[in-house]
Amino acid sequence: MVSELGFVFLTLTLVLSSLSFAQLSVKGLGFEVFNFSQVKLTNAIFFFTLTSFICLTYSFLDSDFTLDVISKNSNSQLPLIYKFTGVWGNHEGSILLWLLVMTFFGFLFSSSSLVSPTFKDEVLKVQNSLCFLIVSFIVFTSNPFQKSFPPPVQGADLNPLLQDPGLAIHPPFLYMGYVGFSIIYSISVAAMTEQSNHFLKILKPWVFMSWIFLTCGIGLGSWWAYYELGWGGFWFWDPVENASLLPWLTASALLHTIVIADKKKILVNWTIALSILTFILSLLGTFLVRSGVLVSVHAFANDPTRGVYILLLLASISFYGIFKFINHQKQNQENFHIKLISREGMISLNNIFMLSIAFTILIGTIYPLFSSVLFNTKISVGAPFFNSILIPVMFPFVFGMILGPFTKWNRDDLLLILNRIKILLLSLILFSLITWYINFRDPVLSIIFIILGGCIILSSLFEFLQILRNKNRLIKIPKKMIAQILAHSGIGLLIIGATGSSILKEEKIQFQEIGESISIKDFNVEFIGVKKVEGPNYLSQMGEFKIIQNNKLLTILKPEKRFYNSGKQVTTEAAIYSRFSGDLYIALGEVHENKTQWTTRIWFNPYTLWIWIGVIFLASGGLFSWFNSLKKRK
Amino acid sequence: MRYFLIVIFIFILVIFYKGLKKDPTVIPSNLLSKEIPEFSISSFSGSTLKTKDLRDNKVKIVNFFASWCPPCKIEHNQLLELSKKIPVYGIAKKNTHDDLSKWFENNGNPYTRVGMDTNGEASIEWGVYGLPETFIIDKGGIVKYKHVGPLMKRDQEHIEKIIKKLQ
Repeated sequence: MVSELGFVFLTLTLVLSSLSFAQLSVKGLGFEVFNFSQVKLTNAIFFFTLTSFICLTYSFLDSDFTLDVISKNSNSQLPLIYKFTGVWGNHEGSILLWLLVMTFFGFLFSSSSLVSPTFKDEVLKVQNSLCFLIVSFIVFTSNPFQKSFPPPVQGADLNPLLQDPGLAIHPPFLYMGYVGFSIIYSISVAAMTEQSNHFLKILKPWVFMSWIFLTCGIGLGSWWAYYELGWGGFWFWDPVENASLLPWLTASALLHTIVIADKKKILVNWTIALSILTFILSLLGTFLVRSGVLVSVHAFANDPTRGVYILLLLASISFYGIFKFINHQKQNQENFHIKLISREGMISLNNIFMLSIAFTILIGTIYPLFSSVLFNTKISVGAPFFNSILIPVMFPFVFGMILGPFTKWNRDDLLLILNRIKILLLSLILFSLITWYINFRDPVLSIIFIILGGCIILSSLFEFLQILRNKNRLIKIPKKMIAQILAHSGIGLLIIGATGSSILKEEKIQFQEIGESISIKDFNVEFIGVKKVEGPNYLSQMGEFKIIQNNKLLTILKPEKRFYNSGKQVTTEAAIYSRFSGDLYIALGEVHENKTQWTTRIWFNPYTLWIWIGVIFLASGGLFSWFNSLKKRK
Repeated sequence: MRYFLIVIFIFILVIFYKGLKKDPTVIPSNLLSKEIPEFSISSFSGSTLKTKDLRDNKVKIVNFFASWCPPCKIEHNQLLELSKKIPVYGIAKKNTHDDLSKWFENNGNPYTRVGMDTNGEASIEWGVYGLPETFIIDKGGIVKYKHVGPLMKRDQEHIEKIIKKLQ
């Protein structure tokens, strides 16, 4: 009954959103026959989608195995929290969550009192039309309320890898980011229709908000992969990881550009182009994950029908945005000149680098598909390609990040800048020499990158002290300055963390005898043994390892191998001892035939903690910018 | 310039569309429809196993495996079943004689003959990059099919169909 109700509400969303879609299409053809209150329509669409989502959630909690999606992705033994998060642990439920977030953003936008009614109407028309495309995709190809016949007595269980708190919150954050870009698309398209420049102030908070969520979503996904997969790494250049990075990069370019666009009223067209591109890349990511065209650890299902539909969706939304933009640009040519040595110039450079990185990653991600279709050869593009392309780009990128904040608007002089920051430059040189001297035994590349990361952090600190000296009090420091200092430091921390945990990591794989000690870095890892532990819906073999440093017991790590009862699947739960200097990471493998030895994989990943702190810094920077843009809007 | 970008965009969409019809999990082998490669390795029984031994006008299966490879254990029963219908040749990658003897004692031996690819030379010749991998060879010594990963029950049925056709 509840599930039927859920489908009815979903159908109502389809019907209501189709009105906006029809209105937009008819208007596009030059007619204006319908006239609905888009605000009321948006509220109703959100309410119906929310109710439909609640119905699906209730069915999951109630283990209603008459629904196909629940019988395949849940189980009555599943802990309640995972029955709940199982709602988006599958294709159908997750795309409904996508829709819910999309309608929620429409609802939020409709409640804003700071937007003129006509502009609001225009934005909501586009947003509701996007909802129509997504809801029709759900209803016709991915219906979560599809019945299974005959209904099974027990469900097949949620993929054990997804039975994890990290994965429970990763998708909602990611979708808030991805789908947040839909409202940015809608605002930009509406701004082109309305020929308005006021949209920049309206657009800004949405850009920051979506960017924060996407940053957290990617960070959470990476953190999950790090401790759950047991591979000892945090980023694997998997197509789906890359797909999430693409809109993040263009959105990062966008949030720099929008500052100039808002302040100087230049690069407005470029801001619109980046907004449209960012949402197109979000959709591209969805296409790559959901259609099964690429081999990925994330692939949901290889369903060509769904693939064709998403491709149509991607094509129509992209073409609509691109054609609107081309027409708009013809009528609104911008004439301006940006000096390279100026704040605008530095931000433009940032855009060029961000887009070059995005373009490179895009090529690397889709090239295997091109090679397969055009040349019928299978290739895979992995870390060596991405590293070899990205490493050289990092140098000018970092120099820009260091100089940019100290550059004046309109026009500046390189010598004057260098003179202004001579103390900083001296400290950077000193820091570089000391770092090189301390780490000279390490690979050269790692020393260079740690220096680059450190220089960004030091220059941000210098900027902070400089502002503090001028303003005298912490509270007086403008939020946008704090935002920039936090975000740039976050990038510095990320660079150091990524360098440590990739170039400097140490790895030992062995058959380890019970009682045997393995030394790694300055730790001794003593294998105490393996015991059987029973979880709510799994049996676990839990290894115990004493971590000893200088004859002192630091902790006992307990990595696990879990055997999930219903799906007969095995997962690895790595155990991690985290410190600023690095993570000691243990994953338990198979038992040897002699039953006294186990395969153990022990890593020392230097500075991994800095990655997660870097993500927190980035998101906090975004939060400050967001608050600032909300305040400025009023 | 802008129309050039649109053309590129359409081109990308067409490639995506074509890509939808392909299964990315299917990995082709350069050896398909070609003769089995030249190789010569020592055999489990102490003699040698070489290309000529596999060209005996019979349809056969060549399976790359190792006692240290957990997925090989998963496919073992399927191989035992298949060996009742068709000769199955095994090539054990980087395995010691003792470990292999124990493996056969515990799990049974489905193989007509077993080659010992101690240095991985034969695996390189055959383009094997993971274990287990299975090839079907027709009467003329041509590689007709390649399977990457463990043979599951459904794969066994599929392979039986191919063999029937070839015979």
